[in-house]
Amino acid sequence: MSKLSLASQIIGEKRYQSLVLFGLQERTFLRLIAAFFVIAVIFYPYPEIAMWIGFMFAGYSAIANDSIQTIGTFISSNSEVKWWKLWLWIGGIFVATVLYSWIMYDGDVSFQRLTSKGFSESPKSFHFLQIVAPLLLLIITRLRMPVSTTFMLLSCFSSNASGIIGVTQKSLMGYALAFGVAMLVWYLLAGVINKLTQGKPHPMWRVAQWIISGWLWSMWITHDAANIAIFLNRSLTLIDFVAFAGFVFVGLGILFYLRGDKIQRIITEKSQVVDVRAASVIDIVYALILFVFKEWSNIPMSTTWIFLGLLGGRELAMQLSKKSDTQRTMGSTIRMILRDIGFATIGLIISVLLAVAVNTNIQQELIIYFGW
Amino acid sequence: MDTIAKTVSKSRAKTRTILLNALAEFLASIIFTSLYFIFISRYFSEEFGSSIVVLFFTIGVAFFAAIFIPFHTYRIHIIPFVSLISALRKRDPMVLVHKVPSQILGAFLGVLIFNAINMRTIKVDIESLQMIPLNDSGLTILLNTVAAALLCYGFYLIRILFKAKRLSGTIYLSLYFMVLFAATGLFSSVSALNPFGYLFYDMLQNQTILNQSFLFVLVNHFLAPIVGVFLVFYYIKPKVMYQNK
Repeated sequence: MSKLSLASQIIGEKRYQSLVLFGLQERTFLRLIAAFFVIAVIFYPYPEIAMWIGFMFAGYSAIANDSIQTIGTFISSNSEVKWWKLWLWIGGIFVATVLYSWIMYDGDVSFQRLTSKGFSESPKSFHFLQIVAPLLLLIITRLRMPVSTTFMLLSCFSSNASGIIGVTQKSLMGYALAFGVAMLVWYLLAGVINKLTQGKPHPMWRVAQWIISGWLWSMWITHDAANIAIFLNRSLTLIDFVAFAGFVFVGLGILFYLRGDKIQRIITEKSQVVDVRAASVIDIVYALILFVFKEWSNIPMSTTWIFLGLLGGRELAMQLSKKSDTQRTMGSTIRMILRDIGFATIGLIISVLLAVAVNTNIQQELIIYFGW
Repeated sequence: MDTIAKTVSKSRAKTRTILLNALAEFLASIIFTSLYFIFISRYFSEEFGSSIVVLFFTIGVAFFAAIFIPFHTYRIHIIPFVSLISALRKRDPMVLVHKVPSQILGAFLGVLIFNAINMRTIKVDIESLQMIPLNDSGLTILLNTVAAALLCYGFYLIRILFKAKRLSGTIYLSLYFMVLFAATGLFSSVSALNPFGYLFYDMLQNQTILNQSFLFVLVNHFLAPIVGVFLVFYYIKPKVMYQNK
C-alpha cells in the first residue's frame, strides 16, 4: 500500500520533505520547546512562578541569540582555548557588571533601561504570549535568523505604543549610524587594517582581544540585561539577584561548552573574523557605538540592529575597497545585507504582532489611529 | 560463545527498549492527565473566561504534547484501550503489561499535580464539566463503548493503515482526539478518553463513584469500552488482511 500523506498534498511535496527533514534533524530541540510550552501553559497564570519561568526562557534565548554578537567573534578566534577559561572571563564580567547596576541603581539590574516610558512598572500578571515570546525567539534563532531580542521580548511588555515606537526609532538610528561608521572605518582604514592583519599575530593581540571583548560584553549587558530582567520586579532583592546572576552565569557556561549556538555560523560566514586582530577591530567599533547610545538615553534599543548595520557596512566597505579581499562579489554582498535586514524586519513584525495581541492599550490605540 | 553473547546483548537491548517505552508512557500520562484537567478547570474558571471551542482545541494540544514530548512516535498510547488494540494486533499480551502500569502511575501523578495547583488557585470542581447528565445507564454505557471504539479505530487507521507514525500522524491523531472529546467529553460518566485520569480524580477528590453501583462502574468504565475495542479490531482485521493480499 502506497503511503498517503495529506500534509504533502496540502503544502507541496518539496516543502513537506524539507519540513520532515527539519523535524528529524531538530527533534530533540523541538521536543524541548514543546515541553517548555507545556510549562508555560501550566504556570503563566501564577505571576510569582511565571516571572521566573519567563526570565529563564528569556535568559537562555537572549544568550543564545543576542550575546553571540558580542562574544561570537571571541569564541571564533579562541577556538583553541579551553572553554572554561573563556567562560570564567565572560561570566565573571557579567556578574561584575550586573552587580554594579544592582548596587548603583537600587536593585535595578537593567542600568535604568526599564525606567523609560512604557516599561517602568513591574509586571503583576502575565499573558501566555509574554511567557512564550522567548521560545519563539529560540525557534527563530534555530533557523539562523538574526532577529532582535529587544523587540521580541520588550514589545510584549510595553504598556503603550509609544514605548515600542521609541525603541524602534532608536534602533533604526543605531543601524544607520553603525552602517555609516563601519563604511568609514573599513573603507578609509582598509590599507592599515590589511597591513595589521598580515602574518602571525603578536601574542599581545590575544591580551588586547580579551580586554576589548570584555569591554564590549559589559557594554552589551548595559543595554540588554533589560531584555532578561523585564520579567522580574524592577528592584531585585539579594536572593533575586543571586538567582538572576547565577542562572545567566550557568547558561553562559553551557554556551561556551557548546562553542556557541547555531547563530554562531552567521559570524563565521563573514569575511576575516576568525583572525584575532580583525575580530578586535570589529569589537572595538561595536563597543564604541554601544557606549555612545548608552550615554545618549535610557530608552532600550536593539543591539542586534547595530550589529547587523556594523557587519553590513563593513562588508560593503571591504567590497568597495581595492585593498581588501572578501572573496565575494558585490551582488552577493548586497544580497547578504538585504537578507539580514529582511530577517531583522521579520522579527520586528512578529514582535509588533505579539505586542498587539498581548496589550489591550495598544489595541485601543490602533483602533483610534485607524478610526475603526 | 559468540551466539550466547549475541543472545545476551539482544536480550539487554530488548529490556532497555521496554524500560524506555514504559518511562515514556509514564511521562506522557503525567503530561496528558495534568493538562487535561488543568484546561477543563480553566474553562470553568471566570478568571480565564475561555470558550468551549478553545477547550476542545487545548485538549487536542494536551494529547499532542503528551505524545510528542517523551518520544514523538507511535509508541505512546496513553489510553489503555489503545494499548489493548495494539496488543491484539501484535498478538502480544505483554504490551499491556509494559504499558498499563505506567499509564496508571502517570495518571495518578498527573491528578496529584492538578489537585495541587487547583487547590491553591481556582478550586474548580471539574466533574461539573460533564454538564449533560445522562439518566439512562444504557445510553451512558453505549456512549463509553462508542467513544473507546472510535478512538481505537482512529488510532488504527492513522498509525497502522496510513503508517503515519511520526509527527504528522501525531498531529492527525490529536485532531481526531479533539473531535472525539468535543463529541463525547461533555456527557456525564463517559470516561473512555481518559479512564485512569477520571478514576483517580474521583478517588482523590469527589468520590462520586461510591454513589454508583459496582456493576454499573464495572460495565460502564471497564467492560463496555473493552467490548468496543474488540468489535473495532474484528471489524478492521479482515479488511487489512484483504488489502494485504
